[in-house]
Amino acid sequence: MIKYIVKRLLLIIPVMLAVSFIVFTVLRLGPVDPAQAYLLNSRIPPTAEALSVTRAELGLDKPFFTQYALWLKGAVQLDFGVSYMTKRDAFGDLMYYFPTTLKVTFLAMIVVIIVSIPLGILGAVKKDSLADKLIKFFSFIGVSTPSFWFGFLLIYIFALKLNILPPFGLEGISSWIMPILTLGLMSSAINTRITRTSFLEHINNRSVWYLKVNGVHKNTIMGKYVLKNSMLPVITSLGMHFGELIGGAVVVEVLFALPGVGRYVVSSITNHDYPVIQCFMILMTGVFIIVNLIIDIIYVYLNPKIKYGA
Amino acid sequence: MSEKLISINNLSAGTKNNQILYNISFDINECEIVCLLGQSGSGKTMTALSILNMLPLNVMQTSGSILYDNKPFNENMRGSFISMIMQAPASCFDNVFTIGAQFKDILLSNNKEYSIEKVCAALEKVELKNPQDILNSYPFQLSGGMLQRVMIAIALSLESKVIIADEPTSDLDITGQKEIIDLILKLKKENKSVLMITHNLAVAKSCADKIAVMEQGRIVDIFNTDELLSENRHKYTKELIAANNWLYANKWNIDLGENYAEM
Amino acid sequence: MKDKGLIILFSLLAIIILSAVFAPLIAPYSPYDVDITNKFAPVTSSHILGTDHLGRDVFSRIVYGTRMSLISVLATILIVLLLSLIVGSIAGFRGGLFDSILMRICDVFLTFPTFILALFFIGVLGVGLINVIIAIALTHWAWYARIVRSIVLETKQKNYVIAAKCLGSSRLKIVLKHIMPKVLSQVVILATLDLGHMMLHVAGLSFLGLGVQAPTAEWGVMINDAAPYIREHPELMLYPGICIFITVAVFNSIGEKLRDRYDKMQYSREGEI
Repeated sequence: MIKYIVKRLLLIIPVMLAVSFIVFTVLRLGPVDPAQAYLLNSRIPPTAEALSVTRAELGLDKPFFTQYALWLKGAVQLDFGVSYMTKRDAFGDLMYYFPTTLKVTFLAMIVVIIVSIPLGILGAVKKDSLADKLIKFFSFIGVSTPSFWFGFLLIYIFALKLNILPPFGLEGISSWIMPILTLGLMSSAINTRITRTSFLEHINNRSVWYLKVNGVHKNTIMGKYVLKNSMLPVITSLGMHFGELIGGAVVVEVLFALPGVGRYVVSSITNHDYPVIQCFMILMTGVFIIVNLIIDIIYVYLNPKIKYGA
Repeated sequence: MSEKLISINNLSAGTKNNQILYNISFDINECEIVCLLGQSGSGKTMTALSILNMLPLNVMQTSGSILYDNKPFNENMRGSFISMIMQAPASCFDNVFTIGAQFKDILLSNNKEYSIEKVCAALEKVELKNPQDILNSYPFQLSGGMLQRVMIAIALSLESKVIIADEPTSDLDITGQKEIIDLILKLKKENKSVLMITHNLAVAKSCADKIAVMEQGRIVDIFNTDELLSENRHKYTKELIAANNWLYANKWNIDLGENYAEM
Repeated sequence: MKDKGLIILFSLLAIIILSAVFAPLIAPYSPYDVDITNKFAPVTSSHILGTDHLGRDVFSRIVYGTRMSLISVLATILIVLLLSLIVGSIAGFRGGLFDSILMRICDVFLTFPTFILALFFIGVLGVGLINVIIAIALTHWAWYARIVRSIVLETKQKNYVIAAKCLGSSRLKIVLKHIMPKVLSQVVILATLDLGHMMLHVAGLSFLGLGVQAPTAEWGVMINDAAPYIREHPELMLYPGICIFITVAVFNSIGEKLRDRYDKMQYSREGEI
């Protein structure tokens, strides 16, 4: 087990290298080259002379791989260069907003877990009952609703009409409620479905039948055997959905005017602020990779078949 | 006179538009091995499911009764009065729990005491070596034959009076089959009754006291095993005997030495 | 077709497609006709859903919005299918080094969270509808390519394909007759299930101001436009939202029905063998 964890941790290095290389290269392939972008953000007309000066300033006249190596060297020391827009340290800027984004994402993840797993199990155990039908209806609505629109509905109902929650910004705990519900809705709906299906599949398993026919109580079968088995695909799915959530967080932050990376990143995208975009990609993907690593470790821990290499 | 442990009377069952079992009647007495013999689809498994009260949702018992030690069915009988050994053992155990954990849950659920010594003794009785290792291993780490033995050990430790064995030999090679049949005979020595379901006449003859031949949902012939070769056998039984004789016509004449006594 | 639900779904789909195709005939006004004097007009017979903050007819904008949504999502899925079928089949058929290189590339794409990667591509390509389509296609293809590859690998080993090979069918014939139909049917089902999801991504990007730009009649843009007036005129936000919801729901449900049907077919066919 420890060997596996170490192996997976070491594997992060090449993966992050590949990620960084792609991010760095693809940005250079775009229609706007960094010098141009820099001048645009500085409101200097991109004359040939200005461009060549900026190129030299930003080190863009060096060979491509040298540039990548220099950037990587900085990135490893958390120096992602200076934002073209604000002329401040890109990493520092993003780190100012990043905790809020992480908080929204993880809170939404918690919502997803505490909504989808119990609902999915309830639906499976009481298959075809009224509760099951309601749960199925909820997942149907949830997977088809645009999250930002759902957010506006919440704002309208709870902030403007009922006046019980603040419409935007961060003022105490209550202002987290609508953002995390908005963000968590779709993933909750999808994972409810996955939990339900997975649970139902395992109820009909022969191993469950064997336990039942030899007198094992239904509660033990459901609460122990079916539960553990059916959680395996759910865990994998939750890992994937962390990516959806961290992406959706950008939308939700803009919507609820939360001080997360959202608005800052959107403006850096429209303004071709490459250092910020690069740093943002590395941060978000890094978090996604780490969360999935943790999820994989939990999966392996729960599934002896992989643990013992069968 | 031995006591009737399970008594099936005129049992019929079927789906809405399709009858599956027609007037099944037979008894399982104390210390007796009864074989249900028939092709797949003849209704033998459905009969076993009726006894366990585990018919699929769309199948209903339409008439007849089953008495267990002269009492009607109740859920607590599963495990404590009747236990089951299934075919395809690799899919009958849960791969994310150890054998020991599953053994323990089955025993505790039936209010049987669980102790390592007791369980190891049961595993040794079914001729499994290193019982401690087996308890700590996961099902996918053991072979089908080993898992089949574990099932028999579980049935033994449950101390249930009746054991239903559904094609316990079907996935095994011929030596494995013999070993499992030996264990089934051993169960009888431990004062258990066994309802064995099989499609193999040779297997049935080798262990059964009583054979019930099923065809298309009916018991067409039922007899004590020593009357198998009597004139009065049903046409279908005779076909089975003929086929068996053709297949095993040659007893190979070779002296294997005293270690290989004839079965 | 006896399935009532399927009939309802296909009628809804027909309405969506027809209103996209015949938008100029259905919409009573141009979606861009600004009339400031008549802003926030209530629901009347001349403006059946009222007008927005610039006095534009909401119903006409909704109808034209269908176009944008369908075009963007269909274009996306076409790129995805094309890219993934090519890459997936090559990887599946050729195997070896080709396979490992292509699959490593897919792995890299799958390392990124989808929406974040879409944001990145827009950062590279710039804002706008076409770039959004490319970005979303680029974030989804890798997943499909992997599936295509696994179906190809699986089908290659099916007994009927091996039998066809033994009977001397040409390689091309086996691919076209035995493997591609299977790949296509499964991938199309997946794509239908995914259409709704992609549509939500398109709308989300439009909402962020990175996709379709105002004044284009697009549902995400309309929601964004209506946001400042949410207190007084929540209905302006309600209509386009409901449209997105219905369209996504229709695609999801059709995808699910198709999948169930396919699973059943597959099941009965395997049963026969």
